Amino acid sequence: MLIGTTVVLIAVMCASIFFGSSGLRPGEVLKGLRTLAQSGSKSSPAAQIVMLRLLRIGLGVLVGASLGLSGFLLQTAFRNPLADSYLLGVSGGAQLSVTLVALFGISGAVGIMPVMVIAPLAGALGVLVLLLMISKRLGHDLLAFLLSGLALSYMLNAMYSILVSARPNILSHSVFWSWMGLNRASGSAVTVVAAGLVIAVPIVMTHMRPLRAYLVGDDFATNVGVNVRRTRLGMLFVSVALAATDVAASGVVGFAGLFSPHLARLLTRHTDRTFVMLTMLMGAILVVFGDLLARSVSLSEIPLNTVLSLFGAPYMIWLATKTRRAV
Amino acid sequence: MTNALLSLRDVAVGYGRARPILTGISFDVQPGEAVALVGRNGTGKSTILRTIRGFLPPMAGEVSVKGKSVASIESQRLAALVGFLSPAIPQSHITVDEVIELSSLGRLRTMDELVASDHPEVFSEVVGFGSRFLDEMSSGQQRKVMLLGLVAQWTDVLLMDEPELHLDLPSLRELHGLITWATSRGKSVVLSTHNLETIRLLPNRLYVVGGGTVREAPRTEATVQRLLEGD
Repeated sequence: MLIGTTVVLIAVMCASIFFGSSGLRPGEVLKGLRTLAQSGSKSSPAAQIVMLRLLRIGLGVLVGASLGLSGFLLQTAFRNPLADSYLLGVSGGAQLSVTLVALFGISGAVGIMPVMVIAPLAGALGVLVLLLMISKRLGHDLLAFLLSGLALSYMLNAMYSILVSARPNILSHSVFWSWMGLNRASGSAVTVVAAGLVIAVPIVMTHMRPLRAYLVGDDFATNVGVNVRRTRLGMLFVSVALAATDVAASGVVGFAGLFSPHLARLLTRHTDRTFVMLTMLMGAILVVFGDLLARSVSLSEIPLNTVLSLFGAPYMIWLATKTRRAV
Repeated sequence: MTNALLSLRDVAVGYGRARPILTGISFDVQPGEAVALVGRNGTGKSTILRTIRGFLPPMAGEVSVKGKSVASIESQRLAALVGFLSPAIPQSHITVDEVIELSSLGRLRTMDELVASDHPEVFSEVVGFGSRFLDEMSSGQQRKVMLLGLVAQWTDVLLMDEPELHLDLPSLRELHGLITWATSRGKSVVLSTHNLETIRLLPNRLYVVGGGTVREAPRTEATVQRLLEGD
C-alpha cells in the first residue's frame, strides 16, 4: 500500500518535471537535468527552468505532506471528519497576520525567516483560540461548528481583502502568498516546511497510543491513563503550527488537508502509523498534481488553491451529506 | 484502619466553582464486594463515580484506593487500579482488538489474547469480533465490547455507570455473570443502576443517592418499593 502510493507520487513528480508553462520539450528537460546532475551549474536556461521545477516539486511534496498531517491532527482533535485549516479559518488567520506584518512592520520584514514563521503562527493560533471557544459552546454539533469556522474564515478573508485594497502597494509581496501557491518556491520556503515536518512527524509517530485512545472518547482515553487535555492541545498546536509553515511557504492552500486523511482511509481502515504516512503521501500527491494542473492547463498560471477548490468543493458536499447521516 | 479496597471519607462532589451536588458521602468497599448506587435521574450518581475514578476532584473529603488518596496517584498507575465504564457509546472507527489493546494498558493485544487469559465466559457473540469496527456495530454489541475492555483493564476496582444500557435480557444475565466473576476474584465493583433485576440480585449493599447526600438502604423488597415510588 505504502509502496504503491509512493510509486504514484513519484509518477506525478516525474510528470511534473516535464510539463509547465515554459513549453520546454522533454528532450530539453532531460538535457537540463543532465547538466544539473553533472556540473551542478545552472548555466543553460533549460537547467535553470528544471532547477526551478525541481524546487517547486520538492516544496509541493513537503507542503502536501505537511497539510495532510495537519488535516489528520485537526480532524482527530475535533473528532470531526470535515475539519480543515483552510475551511476553519486557521490558514486565513495566518495569511491576515502576515499581511498585517507586511503593512505595519518594516517593509522587508516579511522576507526574514523568523518573521516568516512567527507571524503566520501567531495568526493561526489566534484563530485556534477562537475555534476552541466556539467548539466549547457548540458541544458535539459537527456541522454547526464547521459553519462557524467557515464564517470565521470568510470574515478573515474579508479583512485581508480590505487591507489589500486599502494599500494596494503591499500586493507586491503579500498577494503572491495567497494566489500563487508553489510559485514562491525557494530554499527558505523548503527549509521552513521541512523543519516543521522534521519536528512534527516523530512527535505524532511516538504518540499513536494516546491519539487512538482519544479518538474513542474523552472518558475512554482518561480511563486508560491518557491526559485528554494535553493530547487535544498538543494535536491542535502541532496541526496549527504545520498549517502556519505551509502558509509561510506557499500561501493558503485549501482542501488538501481535508482530503488526504479520507483518501488514505480508502486504503487502510486502521488509524496507525501506516495511515499517517499514507495521509502525508496523499497530501503530497494532491498538491503536486494540483500544481501540475495549475501551471499546464492554461497559458497563465491558475492559483493552486483554485484548482484544489474546483475538485475539493464537490467532494466536500458529498462528505457533508454522508457525515450528516452518520451524526 | 480498615482493609477496604475503596474508601470514601466525607466526600463532597460537584462541578467547578458551583455548590457541591452531594456532601457527606462516606462508605467503604471491601475486596470481593459489589455495591450499587440507586436514585432518581440527575441526583449525582454519575458524578460520584467520576469523582471516584479521578475525572473530577472531590470538593471536600478524600477518596482512597488501597489506602492511598486517588488525587495523589499518578494517572497511569490509577488506570491500572480503577477502571471506569462510561455510559457514552463511542462512535469511533476503531477495531475491537484495538479497544482491548488500549484498555489492557499494553498487557494484551487482541480479543483472542483476552479469551486465552483469565476472563468471564460471557458475551460470546462479540468475542469473535476482533477485527470488526466499533462504529459498525449495534449499541448493545458496542457496550459488550466496552465491558470486555473493562475486564481487559484488569483493575482492582471496577466502576460501571449504568452498565445495563442497550443490553438485551440474556446479555443482562451475562453482565451479572461478569460482575460475579469480578467479585469472586477479589475485585470491588461500584455501579449505578436503574435495573430492578440488578438491584434485587446483585449488590452486597445499596446506597440511595438523593436529597444532597448518600444513605445506605437495606437490601429489602421494601426499599425496592420505595425506589419505585420515587421516595
